[in-house]
Amino acid sequence: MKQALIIALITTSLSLGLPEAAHACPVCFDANGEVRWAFIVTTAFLTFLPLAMVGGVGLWMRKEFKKMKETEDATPEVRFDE
Amino acid sequence: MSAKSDTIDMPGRPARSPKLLPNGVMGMVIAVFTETMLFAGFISAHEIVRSQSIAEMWPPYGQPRLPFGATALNTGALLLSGIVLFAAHRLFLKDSQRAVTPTLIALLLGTFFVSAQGMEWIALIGEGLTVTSSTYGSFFYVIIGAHAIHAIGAILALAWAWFRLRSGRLTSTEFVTVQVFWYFVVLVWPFLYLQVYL
Repeated sequence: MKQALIIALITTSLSLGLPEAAHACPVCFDANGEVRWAFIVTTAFLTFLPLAMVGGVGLWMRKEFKKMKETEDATPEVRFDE
Repeated sequence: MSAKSDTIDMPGRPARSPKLLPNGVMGMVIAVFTETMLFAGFISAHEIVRSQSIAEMWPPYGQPRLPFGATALNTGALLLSGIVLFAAHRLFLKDSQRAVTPTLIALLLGTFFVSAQGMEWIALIGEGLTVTSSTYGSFFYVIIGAHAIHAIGAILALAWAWFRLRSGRLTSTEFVTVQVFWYFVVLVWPFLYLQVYL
């Protein structure tokens, strides 16, 4: 426990002390409006594409499960009398 | 406590939840999702670099223009292969042997696409467009090359499916799994074509 605490302290100190400040790329946004627009569009594209894909499959599965359930409910249950 | 009292009496088997997709198809769908994101990353990077081009000069000075018109023919062949494979699937559901010829046609169309791309690459290298000549060349070979590798993989998979189909050993799950990959290769191409060649 004590050893784990020491390791945690050392790791925290190193991660706080060693890195230098990261500055944003100076040429990314100042070129023109087209660059800014490209960044916005591609950010939206990469954000929403996976959500759309997973969401699409999720909706499809929901629809299919519903259809399956309806078929099951419509099938008359077979009972065997003892 | 006796050993008998520890056992749990379970009549019958536990009910399994219904399966919507076979495991092979599901695995391929997940693989296609990851590959889609790979190409989405390529397209995004390409779009940003293109928008940063000096004085909106794209392709850069001294670099050859990509053959948009000639590649339209390849694009048509690839799209047609997707349609033919879909028709093959419909026929497969009725009688598997009726799907042999359309599957072969789809395979040949795919092979034509890759061969024509290869010839195009040879011509472009001859004109001075290489992977190190400019960012234009780098993007072209990385994006179109990544698609070509996927197309070759899909051709090999479809050839394997065709051999099994011909001998009557191809299962429906195997066929659909290969189709999912093929449709991915077909459907991602128009986006790459418009992004890179235009």
